[in-house]
Amino acid sequence: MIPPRARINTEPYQTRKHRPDYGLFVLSSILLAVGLIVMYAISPALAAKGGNVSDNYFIIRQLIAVFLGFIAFFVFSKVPVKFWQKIAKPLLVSVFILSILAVLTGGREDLRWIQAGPLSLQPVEFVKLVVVITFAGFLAKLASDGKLTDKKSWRVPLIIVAGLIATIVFLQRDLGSAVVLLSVGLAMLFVVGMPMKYFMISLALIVSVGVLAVISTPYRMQRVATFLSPTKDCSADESYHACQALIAVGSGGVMGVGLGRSIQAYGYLPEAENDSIFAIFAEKFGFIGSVVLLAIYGALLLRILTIMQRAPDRTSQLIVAGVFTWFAVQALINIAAMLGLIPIKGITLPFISYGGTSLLFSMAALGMVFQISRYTSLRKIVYNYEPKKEQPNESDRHWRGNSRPRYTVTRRSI
Amino acid sequence: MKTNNTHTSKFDRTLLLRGGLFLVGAILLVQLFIVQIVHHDYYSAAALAEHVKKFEVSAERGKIYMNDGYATVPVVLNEKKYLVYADPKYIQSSDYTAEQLQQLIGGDLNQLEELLKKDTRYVVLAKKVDRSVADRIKEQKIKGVGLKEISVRTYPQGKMASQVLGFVNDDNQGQYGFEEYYNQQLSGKNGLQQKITDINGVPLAINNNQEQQDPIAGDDVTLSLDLRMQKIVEERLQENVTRTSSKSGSAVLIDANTGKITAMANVPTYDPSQYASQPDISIFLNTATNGAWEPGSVMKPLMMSTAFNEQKLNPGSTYFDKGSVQISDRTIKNSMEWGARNMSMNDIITKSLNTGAVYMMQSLGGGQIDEQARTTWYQYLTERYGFGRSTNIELAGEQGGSVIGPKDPDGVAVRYANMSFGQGLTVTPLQLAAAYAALINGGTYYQPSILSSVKTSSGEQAVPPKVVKTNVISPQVSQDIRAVLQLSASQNNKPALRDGYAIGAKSGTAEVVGDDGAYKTDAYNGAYIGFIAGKDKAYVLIVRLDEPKTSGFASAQAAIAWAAISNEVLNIVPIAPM
Repeated sequence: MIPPRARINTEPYQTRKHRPDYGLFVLSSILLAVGLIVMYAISPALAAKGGNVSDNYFIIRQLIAVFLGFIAFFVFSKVPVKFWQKIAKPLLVSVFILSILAVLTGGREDLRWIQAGPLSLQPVEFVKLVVVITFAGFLAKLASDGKLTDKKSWRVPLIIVAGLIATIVFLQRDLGSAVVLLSVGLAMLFVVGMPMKYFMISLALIVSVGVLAVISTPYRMQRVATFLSPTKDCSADESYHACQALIAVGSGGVMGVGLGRSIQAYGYLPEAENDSIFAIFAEKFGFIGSVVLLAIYGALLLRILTIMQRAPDRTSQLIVAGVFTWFAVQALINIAAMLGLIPIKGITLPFISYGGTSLLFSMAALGMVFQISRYTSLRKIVYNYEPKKEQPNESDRHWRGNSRPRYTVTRRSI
Repeated sequence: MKTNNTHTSKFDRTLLLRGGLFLVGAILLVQLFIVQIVHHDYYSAAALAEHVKKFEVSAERGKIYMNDGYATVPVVLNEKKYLVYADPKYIQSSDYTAEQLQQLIGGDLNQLEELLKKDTRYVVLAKKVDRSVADRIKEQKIKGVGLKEISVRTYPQGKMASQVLGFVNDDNQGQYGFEEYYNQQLSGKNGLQQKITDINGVPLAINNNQEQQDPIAGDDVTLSLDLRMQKIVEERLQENVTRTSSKSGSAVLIDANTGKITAMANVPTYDPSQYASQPDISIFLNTATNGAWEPGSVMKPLMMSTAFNEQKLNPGSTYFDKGSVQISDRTIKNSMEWGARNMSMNDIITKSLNTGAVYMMQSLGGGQIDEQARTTWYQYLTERYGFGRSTNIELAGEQGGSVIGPKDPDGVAVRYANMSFGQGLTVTPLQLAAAYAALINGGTYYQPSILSSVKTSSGEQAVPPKVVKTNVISPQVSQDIRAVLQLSASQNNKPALRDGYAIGAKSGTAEVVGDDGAYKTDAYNGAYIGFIAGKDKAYVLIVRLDEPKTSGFASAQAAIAWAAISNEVLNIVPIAPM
């Protein structure tokens, strides 16, 4: 007979479905609420800029976007990861079609949008989601087959990636999104356990391509030159945006100017509802508000990281790693640009910026992480990329409270 | 899958991600601290400098009133209109916007489109747009198109007294007449307001303690012009200018006992609200104050009063008139042949004898037009009767006329002989009216004035009559001249006479200097000036017709107009009879 509290090393820990991490939902809802509050406060200012729209035009559209975002979250939180892996190829094909459609129809000033009646869709957000799903599946398979460094296996995916990135960078001129995508890819390589040598090579490759992209286009050079120049001059067209962003953030001070008192939103700061929304937030809520906002982002990202560390399988882990990088890099690029740390990139602040497409796919991605959080282990899991090497599994059965009968479902998942 | 669920002692790469997250967060926090707290003052100042714009709050321009005998009646008011402007930088589609605007403000479509395409930040698309149109423009929220509230003068009495009033241009500056002369007082002082605005300069409702300086409204003014008399003078003058096909006409009615102008009119005239569409700017000029001309025989009573006042002659004096008089190389004749005979002082005025005027002139010296005679006449003209300089009436652009000095070497005797009957010097109708007022009121020269009262922020104040000079002539001489003028009117302008009122007048026809500097042979200016006196009121009225085409003396036509005006004034305005 086995004593009740004995350490038993049996078969590897098997995850079973448990309570998901509602923290993800709560934190993202807070961010959405923050976005809505800011949008509500500046909606009249945005409406005043022109176009025949009512004062509440922007807030109503954002409310609809949030509603759709919740639906996406709900759907993705129910669908198992395996399903997405099954339809990975069709997804990839449709992403290509949509991207090319955007370039061909060329709505708006750039080629980033597909216009369908009153709706406009930014395919690049869809690209991010699909890249995370497909790349995760691909990498996980390579890793379990021990073929991570097998050159043959990389040919086709490299062509796909290069094609996508080229479309985004050179046709849609969306360097920001490309940076996000490449960061996502790099992070996934890193997490899957790509040997450092290969990782560094791909990093160097991507950086040099990035430098080339900047040097080859005058307007990007201009932005970099502006960024490097010591003064941010509001009167010059090139540095106007960066200067106005700093004025917005700086004038916020400790406590902020107050919710309804943002003046920069009244036409001074370009893209106030979108790329510049952090600056408007910082103006309204000051240093304290900004720190709280950063903390909320930090908490959300840390939770995602924890889920990543305990993901039940490689594919899941890589998906979570991709989503983590997506949100983290996007928030970082956006906020750092508003603080004058990097040149301005046209990129949204996840969950807060105005714009349905971005919000919809961010929520979908988070829903996917939420689904994965139902199967997390209690301990960190480090997947070894070398498949042959047998490692003794460690049981967590000796942990207090483990392996006792579960009578309720209130047990914490992690 | 299970085989891969392995814990290893190998370095945990996810730890690096966690560490990176904290590092990046720390960097953002530090920069946030620097921007929001360390440099807060700098950015706040930058924000304020950008958000706060100074606005001039225009002061309401003073309104102008007239009296109609019972109450003050507004003649110049302000109305709110809108200026439509655009910032072409924000115009996305100039042809569409132009079409949109053209439906609202009218105008030429191509011209609007051209304006919207201009490479500048400010174009005026329409001035003086009504509120209803402005509201519709506002509703459309056309990007890059703005509205500015402006104040525009309106004229409830239409064209009335337009040359006296002048107008206000787009820069809110008074032009011509009273508006120009009194511009500063009418303008008031613009206030200053600092407001937080959006990027297009539209003030925001966001409350903030702003510096503010309230505007001080301009002074409201009541003119001395009597609405009734002004109307009569304008209508009769227009009628007579039309009847005689005169080039132009001008009339002044002045209160002889105060110097206040009660009517001042010019024909042709214009609508001050449409000033911008006048092809010829000379129409803005007020001939009564700007039109210095050689007045002719209307100067004779002034010559006579001088001789009487100097006691060289008196109403009983006579002289032998040969029908002509030789001065240097010139022979001066009368306009009509009377033959050589004795003439009285009355005859000089009633028959308008040039020879008699020369005789009076000569009497000032030792029987010659010597320096003493010239100096005396010159001094009377310039120092007592107010010629040769502007009267300082409150109207812009007044002319002073010219009186050549007594020592001027250029044929001075001939010139002074001519000056005795009103040739060789120029005067304005207003100067004559003011001088005649002194002539018949007992010898007091009043400052001609158009102001009755001024209402400033500290209250309304009447502008009292101002005496410029007393004893211009003695009261007795004034009596004598009134009598002579009455006789002249009773003989030459019977329609003007009326029981119970003393009415006296003198006509004057003068040759017109043409563009070549020589006297025209076919054109004359006619003037008729005289007084209407009741129990305690006395007015001097001058009517001038330039180049009437009807046959006979030009002054006779002016006399008809004069009688028409004086009769109607006596009919309508209650002036107590003697």
